[in-house]
Amino acid sequence: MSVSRRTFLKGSVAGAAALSSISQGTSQANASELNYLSIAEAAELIRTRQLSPLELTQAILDRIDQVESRVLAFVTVARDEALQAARTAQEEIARGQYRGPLHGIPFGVKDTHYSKGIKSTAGSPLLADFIPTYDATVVARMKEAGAILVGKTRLPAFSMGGDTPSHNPWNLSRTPGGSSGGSAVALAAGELAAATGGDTSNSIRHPATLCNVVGMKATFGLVSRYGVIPISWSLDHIGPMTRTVADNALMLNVLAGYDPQDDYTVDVSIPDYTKALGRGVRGIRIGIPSDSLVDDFHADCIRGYQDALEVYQKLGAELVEVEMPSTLQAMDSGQRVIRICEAASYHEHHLAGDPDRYGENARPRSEGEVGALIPAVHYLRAQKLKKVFLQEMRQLFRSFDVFITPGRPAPAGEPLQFRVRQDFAKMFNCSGYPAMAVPAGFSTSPAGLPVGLQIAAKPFEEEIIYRVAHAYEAETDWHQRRPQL
Amino acid sequence: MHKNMTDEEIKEVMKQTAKLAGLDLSNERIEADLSSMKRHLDAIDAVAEVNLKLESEPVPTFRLEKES
Repeated sequence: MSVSRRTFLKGSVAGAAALSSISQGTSQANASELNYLSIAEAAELIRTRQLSPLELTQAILDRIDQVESRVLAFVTVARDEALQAARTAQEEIARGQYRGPLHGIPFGVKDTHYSKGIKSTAGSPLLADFIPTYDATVVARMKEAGAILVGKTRLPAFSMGGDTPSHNPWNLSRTPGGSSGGSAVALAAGELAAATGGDTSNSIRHPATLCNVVGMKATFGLVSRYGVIPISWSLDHIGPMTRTVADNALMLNVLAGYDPQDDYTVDVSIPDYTKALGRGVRGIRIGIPSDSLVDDFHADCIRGYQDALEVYQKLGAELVEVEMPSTLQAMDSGQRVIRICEAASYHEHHLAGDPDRYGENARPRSEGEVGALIPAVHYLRAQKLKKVFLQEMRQLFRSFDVFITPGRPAPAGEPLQFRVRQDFAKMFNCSGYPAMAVPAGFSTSPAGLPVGLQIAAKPFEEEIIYRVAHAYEAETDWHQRRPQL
Repeated sequence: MHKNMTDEEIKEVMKQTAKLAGLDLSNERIEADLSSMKRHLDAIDAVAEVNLKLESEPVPTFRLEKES
């Protein structure tokens, strides 16, 4: 089935106010390619039976066949399982049992997420043959919403290290970042419209920025980590990755919520995150760091960031320069201590068994060994510092509605002239505050590498992040651009 | 804290501490882990520079609350 933008719009005029309104930002997308449809667009076509889950899933699998050897986004493609699930979805919809906007939508998950009956290797030879007997809660929730699991995306072993062994679709010689790099690559390459990632030190936002996609690290406790292979229990976050802000909100609608299997999840009421889209930013107070904290960033990242701030001012938002917490730098160090100690605890079993199975030069082995050597008193001191840091963050976030920084200090693989003092990433893992990466343009030197924004807010205020991100996305076309593959 | 220690001293501490942690680290492994160990000792020092109140409590687990 070939679907033109005109056909899509014609078919979606009636009875689809919410989805139609949130898909408006994609008007320039090449919708003739099914694999690049947004979730919102595909959902509307599926709901109105202009597109079947089987057709969409087949188009995604065809795209994977076409480009996967160049980008290496997946550890496992679950072709047969995906086609079977697509047939089931198709039958349900034909019977009038439409479950909602994710019904029939193909998705991928990072290979740390347990998937029943499908290998979950965490990118390590140690778990090369591990097949879970149950789904991680996020996988189960996506399936309950009717989404089709297509595959498991690549990562550095056990999510450790910044570079995923995949290729950035915007420049195949460059890193896509990490650790949720496979998910970001698959989205940018049109191999998926929906994916999940994990974020302990920036691992959703980093690859999202480098690959020109949207990645939300939701509030700590909003999305269950049950069934996800951890790095660090008190720092790990799970979240949705998509090509548009509206799609991300649709996914969080499904992923968010209390899970009795995860002690850290919080029983809060979950709003419809798409409701705030389109409300604009007039009167919104945007906190920004002082220029001196970003002036060592790559010039193209600064330019993209400043251009975005101008867009927000034009739209009626107010910029407020703020002073960062006094413990910010020390907390970044504390994050390293906490992360490695908790990682050592998880890896204790593997290290005591047959550590050679980690493979040669394996970072998880080294991190596990070093973490095991750090006395508990240092771990607890870092956790004490976290309490002070949380108090400072609460105080800081009282003076604005959202906090915006450049997404990354440099585009993919670009060295920095200076040592960056603060990248504004780990502060949101330590605090648990939500933060999202959003496309914000492309570099000029070298040309064509994505740059981005990071938008953060108070705990459980993902709605305002989506609202602010959507307002910017609607004024720009960065998210509509496609890499040449 | 570790700034006055030589690499050999740090490696010796690693070897002995590993025994307490139940790990049997070969000299080869200790050599491979040394740079990571030093980076994390730097991080420990940075945390130690913050003057924490005596009554400070750690938050190894925490639950956030919606403010508004």
